Amino acid sequence: MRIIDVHTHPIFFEDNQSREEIDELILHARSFGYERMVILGDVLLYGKEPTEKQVAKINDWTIRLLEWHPDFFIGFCFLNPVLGRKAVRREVKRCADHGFKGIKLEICNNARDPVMAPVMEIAEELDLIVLQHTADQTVLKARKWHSDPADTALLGRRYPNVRIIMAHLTACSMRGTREIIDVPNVWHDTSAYLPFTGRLEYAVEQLGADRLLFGTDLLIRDIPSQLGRILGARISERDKRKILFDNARELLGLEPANN
Amino acid sequence: MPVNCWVSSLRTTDTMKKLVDVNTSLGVWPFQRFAIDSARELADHQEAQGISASLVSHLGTVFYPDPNVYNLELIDALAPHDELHAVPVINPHLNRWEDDFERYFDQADIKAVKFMPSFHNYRIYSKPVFKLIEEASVRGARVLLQMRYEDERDRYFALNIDGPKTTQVLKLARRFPDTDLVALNCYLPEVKEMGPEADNLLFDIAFAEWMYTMGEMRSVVPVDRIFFGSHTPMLTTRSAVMKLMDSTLEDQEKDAIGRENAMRFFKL
Repeated sequence: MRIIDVHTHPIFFEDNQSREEIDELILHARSFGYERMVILGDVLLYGKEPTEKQVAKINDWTIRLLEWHPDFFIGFCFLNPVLGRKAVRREVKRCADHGFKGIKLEICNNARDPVMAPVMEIAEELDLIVLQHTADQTVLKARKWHSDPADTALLGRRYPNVRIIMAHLTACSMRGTREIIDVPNVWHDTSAYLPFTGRLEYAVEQLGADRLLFGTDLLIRDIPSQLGRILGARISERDKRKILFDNARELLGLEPANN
Repeated sequence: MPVNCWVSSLRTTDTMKKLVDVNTSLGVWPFQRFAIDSARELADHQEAQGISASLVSHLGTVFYPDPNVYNLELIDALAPHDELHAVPVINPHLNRWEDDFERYFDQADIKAVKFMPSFHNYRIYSKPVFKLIEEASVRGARVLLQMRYEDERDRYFALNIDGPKTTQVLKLARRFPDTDLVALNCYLPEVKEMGPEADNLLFDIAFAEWMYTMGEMRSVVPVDRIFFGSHTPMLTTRSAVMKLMDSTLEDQEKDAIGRENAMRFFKL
């Protein structure tokens, strides 16, 4: 089994920052078949609206992890779009210079807000993937700064040339799957929440397996539990392989496997 | 060398005794569609996952005004399956619940009963609950507290039912220091909060999750107070199996949590 995890926070609220802890985490992940891990940063460390300096500090940690394990980690640049065009472009370019492959958006604003324009423009310019935190807001009711699947789907429609990952399949529920059926530039990751049955099967049935990506949301979640969500799903072995590895490899532009 | 986790997990279960699952259900849940909808299918599914015995309640008891109806249906459905053990749900605030209770013990070898104060709308620290615990104790049956069925962030928008407060659970546990209570579907922070405070509170693993979940649980609760529970069919059984079997615990600890604790505690 080969695995790429597209949604992780190896450092969370400054926990797990030592080289030894990171090395142990990688060893643990590799024992399951992990080959690569996308790191999104310690995104909630400074609350929902971090300053430019705080954003940079979060990304500095991602840069450090990439320096420690360039063959394992893939960096996504955490952003606060509310900071405006200049700040967004400055930080994205700085991260891109370190080989980052994407942008991570959390809960600074809603994905349909006008502040997203500079983010999406530079994503298109530098061919970066945008991963947008998303969850069904019919219960959570925090839509001002928290994106609902409908908001992330709208973002995808507005920027058809940008590849977007809508995070959290379980949190988006079946309504989330329906929202992106006709938005081919939006992928969906399986990370977070408990492994409720039926959601993944429904997503495979409605979307096909090609736009689904394995994610854990660790440290918030545990690798075996999140992996069990895929391995225990009532879908084909071929679809499991696509979700766990093939789709992410293609989306991230990684070298084809020869082993 | 990368290890194929799925195979690794199967290998582990092959070499160890099969698991006992203390947290499963049969029936219909209005907000989820299950692939398992009969006792036969549940038995086959659990067997395929390496689980040799399961404690089972009926989901019909959650919303239907009289849980007795579905408890009896469950006992009938499980009768042909030695590996599935019926756990009747009791609402101790219903008049003459004791009559139903007697009947269950007459009809089946009941190992445990369950109560769910949040869904049945009563206070956990109340005289009828005290009586239920006392009656179960007289019968030699264990008492399971269903904390919740769903992640509160993910439930149907109009279903605002929160789990019992941990302070109330602890208060109840302290009132009966010689009686063990099993709290099902606790989140890890709840385990961390309650575990060290009451030696007679025991937990399953279904809702507990963080990186290195099992090590985190073991750090606050002794291994002999943790059970394997999957919350099948609502959660993916394989996730719970892997959470335990592919954890960093020693084999002896996995065996205790996965099987031996439940065998001893529930007299299976």
